[in-house]
Amino acid sequence: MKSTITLFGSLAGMAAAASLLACAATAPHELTEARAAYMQAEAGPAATYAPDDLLVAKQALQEAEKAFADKGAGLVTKDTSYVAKRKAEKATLIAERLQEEKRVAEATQAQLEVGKRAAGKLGQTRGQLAEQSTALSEARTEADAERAKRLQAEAEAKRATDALKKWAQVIEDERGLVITLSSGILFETNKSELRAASLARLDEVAALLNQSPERNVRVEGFTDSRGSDSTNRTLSLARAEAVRAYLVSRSVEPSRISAVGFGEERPVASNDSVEGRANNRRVEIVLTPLVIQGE
Amino acid sequence: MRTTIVATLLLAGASMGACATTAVSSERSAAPRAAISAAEEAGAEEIPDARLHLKMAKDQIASAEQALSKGKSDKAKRLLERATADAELALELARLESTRAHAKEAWREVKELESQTQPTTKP
Repeated sequence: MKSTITLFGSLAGMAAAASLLACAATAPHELTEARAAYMQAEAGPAATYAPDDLLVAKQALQEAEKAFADKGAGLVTKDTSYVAKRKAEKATLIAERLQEEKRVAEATQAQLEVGKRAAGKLGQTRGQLAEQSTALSEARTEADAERAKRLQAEAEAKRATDALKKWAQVIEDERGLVITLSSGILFETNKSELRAASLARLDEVAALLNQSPERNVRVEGFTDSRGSDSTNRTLSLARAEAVRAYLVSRSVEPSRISAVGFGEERPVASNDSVEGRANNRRVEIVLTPLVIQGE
Repeated sequence: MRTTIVATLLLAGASMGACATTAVSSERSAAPRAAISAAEEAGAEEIPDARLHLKMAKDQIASAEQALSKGKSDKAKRLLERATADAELALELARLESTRAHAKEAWREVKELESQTQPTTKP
């Protein structure tokens, strides 16, 4: 390179000495550099991205070539070549910058798309959340209603039990909930037809049974020890059956209610006294516990 | 290099001294000066290549003023054209650099955004 420059230098000197008309055959290095720069620019992105600037560079090179052809390797040629070289480089730089600007635009677009995708996902998630929330609140409403219903049923059962307790014994033992009704209230002596006056009371029992539709019911009849065993058993069964029939007529599901007569078995008091015998003459309505029903 | 310049200067002095009468208007030096300030605004001082061409432009304006003071207006005119070419090159070098940095940053942001939004696809 250094030798080339020296060569050009001496050539230029020689050309100057020989006067301009001699028209030096060798181009100054400024011109060869300008040519190379233009060729490089033309082959690069400038052809596509900066054709106008490339054209300006081409015209500058043509000016330098004209100066060289007209005046040889003089100062005018060198200066125009100097300018031409820079214009070629400028065209390349502009083209490269426009390419970079395109990349910026592409990045902006990509950012937008990433954002859009994220927003879409967010929307989807939001939709799912809304659905879940709706389902949840529906379930909660349902549960609330269920609970209110249960509480109401419990309250009604308690009210019915309390009403029963005014005239009947209501206890909870290993058999379940046991309502003990005195036979004196329900029947005439030795009869198994229900007294008209007792029906309203049995209605209360039916109401209680209907509030616990899942529990099975057993109506058990008992007598005192007077009279024969078989008579007592028959009478107690007839009385239990009468109660059962009436309860069924008051909407108690027949399949869950049975009747049994125990006669004078299982006394709850001594048969030696009037009062004891009165207590033994009874009908017990047993609501079997839920757990037992399940087994 | 130096021999070339000496030789060409000698040549220029010999062949053009007689006809250097054309006045160089201040308008002519306005073009390179405008290009220099544009390059400086674009941050040319920060970029080595651009700073080099900026210096060449300034030096050539100074040379043009000297030439002008000696009545060599043609030489001054050509020096100003060279100065303009250098200043414009400095400007483009600075612009390319900042646009390149901008593009790099924009793509880095894309990558960052993607990495931020990607994990949400995996529940």
